[in-house]
Amino acid sequence: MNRPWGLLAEFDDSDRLIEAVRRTREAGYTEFEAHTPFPVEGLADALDFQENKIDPLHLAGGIVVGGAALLLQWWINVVDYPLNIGGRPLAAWPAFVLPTFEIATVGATVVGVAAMLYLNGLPGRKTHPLLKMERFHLASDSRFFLSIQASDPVYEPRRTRAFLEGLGPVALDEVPR
Amino acid sequence: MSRLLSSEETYETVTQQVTDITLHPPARRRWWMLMALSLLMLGIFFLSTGWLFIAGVGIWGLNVPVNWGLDIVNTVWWVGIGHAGTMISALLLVMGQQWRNSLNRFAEAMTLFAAICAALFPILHLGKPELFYWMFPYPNTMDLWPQFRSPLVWDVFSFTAYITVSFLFWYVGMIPDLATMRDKTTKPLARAIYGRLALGWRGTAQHWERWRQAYVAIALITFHLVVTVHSGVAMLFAGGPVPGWHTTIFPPFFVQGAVFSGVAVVILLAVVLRHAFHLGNLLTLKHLDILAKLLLATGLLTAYGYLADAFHAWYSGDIHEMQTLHDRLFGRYAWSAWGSLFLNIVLIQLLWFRRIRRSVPMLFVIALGAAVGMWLERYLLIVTGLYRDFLPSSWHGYETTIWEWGLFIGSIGLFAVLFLLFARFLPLVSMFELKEELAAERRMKGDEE
Amino acid sequence: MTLRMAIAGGGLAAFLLGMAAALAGSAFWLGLYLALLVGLTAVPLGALALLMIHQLAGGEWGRNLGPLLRGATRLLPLAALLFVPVLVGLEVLYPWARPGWEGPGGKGVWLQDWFFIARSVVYFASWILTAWLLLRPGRHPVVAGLGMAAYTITASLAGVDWLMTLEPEFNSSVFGLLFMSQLVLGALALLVAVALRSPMALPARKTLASLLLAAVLLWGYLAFMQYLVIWSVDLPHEVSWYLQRSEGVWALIPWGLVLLQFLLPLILLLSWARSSRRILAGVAVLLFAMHMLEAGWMVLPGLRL
Repeated sequence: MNRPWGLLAEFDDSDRLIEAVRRTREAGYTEFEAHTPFPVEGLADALDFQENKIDPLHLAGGIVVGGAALLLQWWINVVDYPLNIGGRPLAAWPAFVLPTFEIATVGATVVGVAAMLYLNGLPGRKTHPLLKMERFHLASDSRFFLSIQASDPVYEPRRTRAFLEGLGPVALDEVPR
Repeated sequence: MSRLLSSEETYETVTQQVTDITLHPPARRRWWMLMALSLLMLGIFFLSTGWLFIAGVGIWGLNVPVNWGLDIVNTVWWVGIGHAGTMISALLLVMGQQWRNSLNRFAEAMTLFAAICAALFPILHLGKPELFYWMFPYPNTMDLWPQFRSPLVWDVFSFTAYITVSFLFWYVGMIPDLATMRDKTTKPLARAIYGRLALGWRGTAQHWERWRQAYVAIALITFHLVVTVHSGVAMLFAGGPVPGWHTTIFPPFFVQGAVFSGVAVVILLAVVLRHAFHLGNLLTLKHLDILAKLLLATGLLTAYGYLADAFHAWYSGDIHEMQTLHDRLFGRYAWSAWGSLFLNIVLIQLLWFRRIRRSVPMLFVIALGAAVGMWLERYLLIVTGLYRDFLPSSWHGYETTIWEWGLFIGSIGLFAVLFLLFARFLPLVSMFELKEELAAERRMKGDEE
Repeated sequence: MTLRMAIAGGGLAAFLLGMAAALAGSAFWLGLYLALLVGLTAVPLGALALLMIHQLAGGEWGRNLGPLLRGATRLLPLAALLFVPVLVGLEVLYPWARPGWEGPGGKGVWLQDWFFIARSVVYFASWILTAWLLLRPGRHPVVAGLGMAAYTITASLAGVDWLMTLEPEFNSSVFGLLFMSQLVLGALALLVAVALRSPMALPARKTLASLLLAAVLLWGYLAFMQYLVIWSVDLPHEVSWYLQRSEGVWALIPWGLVLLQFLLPLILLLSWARSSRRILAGVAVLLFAMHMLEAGWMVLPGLRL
């Protein structure tokens, strides 16, 4: 028989999920995920998930793209196509401020969104094993889920199932591959 | 903080109610009737643009000295309306104002569609609309480049940036709800489409954490982008030595006037959606009350702008400034001045009263007045700034033609079609943010007990 | 008690110095007095605005800043008193108050000695009245709403009167709004610096940092927009305001403002540095110092000595 993808426990309360996540981590599991229908305060702390890559990437995107926009404006108006417009200086820095900022916002947003999706592994597999589970649709509705993958080094079918049952889920299912 | 939502709401009822609008449309007939009307107006749009492509801008009433007429009025008006969506959604998110959660999704949609409508007019105004891409800086065989010292060129970038960023803000904010749609629908085709759009979202803690970082950052970015976009629009006027146009208050004045008109349109849409889809429990009277206060506050700022503008024109003692001020109040287009003064300043004073803020029909009328009033104000600023040039020999009036009105009505049709499609097929209210709010309210209640 | 006596003593000394400058007819010294006075008056005046905004919008920051805002607002009568030397020495500072000056149209009406003095009295009377009504115990949203509406007009006109008419040719319709943003920024900077002397939790400090950031952005936006509009159209009676303020050593100040009242605070307030109490206090002190310098820059280069 094929090894299953993992186990999926369902909880009806976010506090119970936070508690379950904390205990799962303490039990030494590493390849598990918590699924919630909305951002739950304290869940990231329970997972000890601290990552701050998105903000710096937004900033970097903004600076690089904005800098390029400023340079392009200067090069066009001063070097490649100088034109006397009402006696204004060729390098008209005050006039370059708004377009530079606006193009920078596009750079920052696009880079930040791309980073968010990439780090999250999205767009993901079209048919993720979890998405085929009968009750998993509730993860985007009203229930809170904890999934432990079979690839986890600590995973052992029977012991992990017993462990999850001890956390007080309202349902517990095996996730086929 | 007082509760906005009834204690009867649960996570399930929120999901059920919002997904039902799409999956089991309640007001199918009314939706089709509205859609038919909107499609008719969209037909007028295509007719007006079609004839414009064939005959050229001569079909409009524009001529020296009034070279900007209804087309630019509509641009400024539409892009202004968009701004309130961003303000409500982005600024209030950053400020942690919970009440936005019932409104932000459709307000963002409004922003995007209004920005699309706004961007059409300057392109159609070009004379050769099909060559609009010449305005972008790309290496070309003519060896020409745009020149960046003109606010007209800035607007190419501000509109492009605005549409791109507000689309991403709207879409990123919608991904988790698209996953809910994917999970709730039973039809295979719908499931496939929503699934594609949801990008495989599984709502893991890591997903949410990264998503939140990105979402808050984009909110901050969009807010500042909005301010610069409309300041750039204001520079179209303030950046030239035209009496009645060149005045330093225009950038902030345009920005907050934009928010004023946009809040008015958000109120109009909220009232319609609330009625059409029975959303009274999610879009409560408390929400309308807060929106009404916002309309009053931004309206008072609009009044401040009028006063500052008029005072400094008078104070300057410049004969041309004085003449423009006089023409605006008593000249050929005085109706636009008195109309906007009445609708934007006098009428909204009713909102000081709580009973009127909570009366849906009154609020609807006042908000409609503000939207019309701001259109009149844009008309006033543009046309009366131009029709009496420095030299009396070049004074010339401006008569609109049927094609200009056709395009304006058509743009409303375009907006309505896009909005109706959105209301029919996409989650109209942000479900996960409402659930988050419910969770916070429950926690607070738990703390109290 | 000692603070109160110090303020009273300092106020009296300043009053006497200002009177001396006014009576001696020294434009430079009276101009310096005006600059310092306007810079410092921002504290009670900006505090009044923040108090009204807090009554209307609420927010956690009221808990930390509230007592300071109330205390600062109580300084308004002192500020009113300190304006007397300026009003006595109108002719010294303001070219339009000198004999033989005639202005076109509205300027001729607006810029008259008695009218100017009467307006200043009305401004202060309305602010003191609003403050008095607000400082009574309890919440007063209606007073705050109406007060804010009146304040935007009186404070704008005060900025126009006291600072813009130093050069009667100059006219900028955003000047009043810009002046108000300076008031709020100046008041907030000083009061945040003072508030940080007592211990405060990290979230509360972050809120104060966000407030400062908002004030810096608002000021930066309005200041740049006024500059951009005037720079774009390049009319002599408008650009001369900036040209006079960028001659010789004065040229350092606009650059200083861009760097130290905008870019540096922006970077520090947006980054991890905002979590540090010391850095936040340092930013607040820097912003207040720059605010005072800006007041000097707005007054002194334009004086007709």
